[in-house]
Amino acid sequence: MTADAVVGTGLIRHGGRKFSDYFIFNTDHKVIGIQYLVLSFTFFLIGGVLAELIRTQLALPTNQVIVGSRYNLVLTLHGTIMIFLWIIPAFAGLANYVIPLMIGANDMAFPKLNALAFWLLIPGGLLMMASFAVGGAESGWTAYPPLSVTTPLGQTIWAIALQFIGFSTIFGAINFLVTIFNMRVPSMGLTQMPLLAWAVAATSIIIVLGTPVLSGALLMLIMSRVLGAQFFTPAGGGNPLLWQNLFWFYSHPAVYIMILPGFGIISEVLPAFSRKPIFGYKLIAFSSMAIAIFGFLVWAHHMFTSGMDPFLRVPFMITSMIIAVPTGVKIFSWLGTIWGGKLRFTTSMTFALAFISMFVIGGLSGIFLASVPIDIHVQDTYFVVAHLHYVLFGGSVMALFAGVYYWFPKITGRMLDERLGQVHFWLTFLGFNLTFFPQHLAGLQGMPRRVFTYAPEFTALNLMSTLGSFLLAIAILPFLFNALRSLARGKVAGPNPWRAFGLEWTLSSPPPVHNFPTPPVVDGDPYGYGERPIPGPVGTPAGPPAPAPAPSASGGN
Amino acid sequence: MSEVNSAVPVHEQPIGTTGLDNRKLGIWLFLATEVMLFSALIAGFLDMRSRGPSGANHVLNIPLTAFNTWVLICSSLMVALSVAAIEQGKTKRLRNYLLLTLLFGGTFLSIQIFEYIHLISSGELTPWGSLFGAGFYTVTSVHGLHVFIGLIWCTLTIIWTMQGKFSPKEFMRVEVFGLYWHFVDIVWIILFTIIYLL
Amino acid sequence: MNHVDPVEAEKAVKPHRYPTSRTYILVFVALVALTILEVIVALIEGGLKAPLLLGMSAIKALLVILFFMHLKYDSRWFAFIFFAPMALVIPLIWISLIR
Repeated sequence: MTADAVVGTGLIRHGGRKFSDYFIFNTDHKVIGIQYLVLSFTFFLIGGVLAELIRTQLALPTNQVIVGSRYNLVLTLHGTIMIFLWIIPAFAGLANYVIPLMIGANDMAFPKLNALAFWLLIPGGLLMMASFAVGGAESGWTAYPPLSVTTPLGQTIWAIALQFIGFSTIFGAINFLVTIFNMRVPSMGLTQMPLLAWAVAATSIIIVLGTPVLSGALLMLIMSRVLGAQFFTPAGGGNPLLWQNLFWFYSHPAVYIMILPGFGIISEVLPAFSRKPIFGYKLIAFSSMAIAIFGFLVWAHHMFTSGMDPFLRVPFMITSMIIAVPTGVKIFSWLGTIWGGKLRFTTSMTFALAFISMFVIGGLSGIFLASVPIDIHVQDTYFVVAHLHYVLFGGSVMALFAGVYYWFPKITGRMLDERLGQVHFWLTFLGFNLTFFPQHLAGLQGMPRRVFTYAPEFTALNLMSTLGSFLLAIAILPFLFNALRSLARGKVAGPNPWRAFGLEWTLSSPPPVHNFPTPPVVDGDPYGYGERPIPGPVGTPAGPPAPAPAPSASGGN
Repeated sequence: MSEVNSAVPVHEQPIGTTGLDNRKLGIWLFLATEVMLFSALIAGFLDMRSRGPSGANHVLNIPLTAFNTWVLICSSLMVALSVAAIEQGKTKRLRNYLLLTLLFGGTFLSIQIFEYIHLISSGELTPWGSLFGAGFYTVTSVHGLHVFIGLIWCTLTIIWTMQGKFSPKEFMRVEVFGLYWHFVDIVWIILFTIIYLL
Repeated sequence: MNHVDPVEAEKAVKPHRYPTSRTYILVFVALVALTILEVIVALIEGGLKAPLLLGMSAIKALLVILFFMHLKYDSRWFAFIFFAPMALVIPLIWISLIR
């Protein structure tokens, strides 16, 4: 069996060399990573179309393009798809591809479980689209009862779809934790592993602890809808706040699931394109864990106006402000990383730099929202919509694109065109800010969210926002064109086009099916820019030695 | 896999791993997710119970359920003894104890289903009829589903035993199944107290 | 963990010091006895009922965890993984019970 051979020819295989290898139950983490990325990107486009429908309706105050229940259905599925079928699986896919390579492993700890986790997204995604087709999931992605108990059939299908997706993420998280803690090369201690591994470990801890609570809440919702249980309906003696507490107990940490991998990617990209080691490795690593834990103590800031016990709002306000601190630590560490560096403005780097400023804006509006006196006035307004899109699009999506541009050469063996990349970036950056910045103002001036008509005084802001969203839609085209054309005819990448540190860059692009012929040895921190020579591919003068006939147990270089 | 190498002095042990078995680490992480799931369901149950009239659980058959609790504890003992058996290489005994686990577990589930049928058909306790009922059926049916999955898993483990897959040096799959089954028992221990007795 | 804790390394390497069948049966007897006690306590009324019952079921759960699930004999990390979520469970249940 050579290092590059695909194993198996039927419906269960390991390794991706042919087109068909990517459509079956493949246990190779690199194939699974690509499967995740392609599937999630498809849902990004679907969720984007839904967004354009919303913005088209909201271009004018009393438009009749999409109204009523149909509008609510569109906004519910927009949120649900973007969160559960785009961002979370996209990061899972990128992590799946990169993490084993980064730690010197030949696959994840449980390759079959890995494949199962991906394939659970198929029934999950199909059921989610079915719920859209059937109609009925009209209560927002937050599915508050009593409305979500009385909506038509599609709401039940929506809840079942989410259960499938939840299982997928939990299985993935368990796999990542065992892989990261148990399968690093012998010489790589926890403080020698790349920061993306720390980020994914922290993310996985959140998933393990939080997602089951959502599953429990969804079960209660299904019992209420199907068997008439009165969990959440006041008329039957139930408690709507029970749903809100259980839902947000998961869904707040969920936003850290959606951002922490992005933070990890930024920590990889910035040193490479500043030619400097990361500033504050331990600060970034430990603050990731702090965010994972603290993230579980802030959830009721989504409920300040729900009628919850007024006194309880105080501790949650305090924790919601404290949680900004570990993130602030990261921001300053990233600034310290690029400070005095020899910056190289590749598309990956421009997305990463834009991430920092856009995420800080989103974080600042978050601090406003953490304050109860302010939140009382802006809760359920477009101020919240602006905040969440600055952190999720300006943050997570931009970080994801930084990662995609960075690792595309490794995954495909081809370079993406940099000029098209810059077009993609600038259209995205301009379109994004034009879409969402006006929404801060609309919200502060009192425009509620989840409405399909609005008072005429908000027209200018909404029109601006809609035009921005059309620009965003156009922006994705150069990326799609770039990706497809580069796959076919892009410049050949070679093992280390960015001259980056990291074990993944010591392998060919794409790597052999079974990754490392012998376990590599690491000899220091993962960001040795300016301190050590760049590791070249195995066997070359600059790289680690080729496999020796009789490797020793504690091999040195 | 990734076991610490005893031939190498401790201070030179590889730092790239915890030394814990992958599968064991994996199942404990999975049990952590189960802790969170049942906590959410118990939170829902307690909320519902506190909003309804007190004494709602008096329709429940305590003697029968106490017996059922004993049945599940027996099944846990059988699993523990099965692990002890394979540690000593006694594969026939392993198989027999697992078969007994299946028997006790199946009995538990049957009695539960019998209880459900009685309570629902008599109208004494239904998911739609009372808040206590809503909480009761949600948390106990999820537990029952876990028992059912455990029975399937037990059957698979018996098949693997008969295929000769286990030895005193390699029985991690039995241990992993055991950990799952004991956890399901623990959940019942708590549910029995807070649902039936309190 | 930049180095492997010598105690942990030993635990991973030594032959398992798991309980014997005798221990398991003793634990079983304790579990049955506690269950019977619980049923009796459940018949009484009064302020002591709840703490007694909760305490007894906690002891039963701990017996299963420590002995049947080998937590007493295995790496401390497994205990951490199992018990750390309790820190979150308590605020979750408490919050959902507050008016």
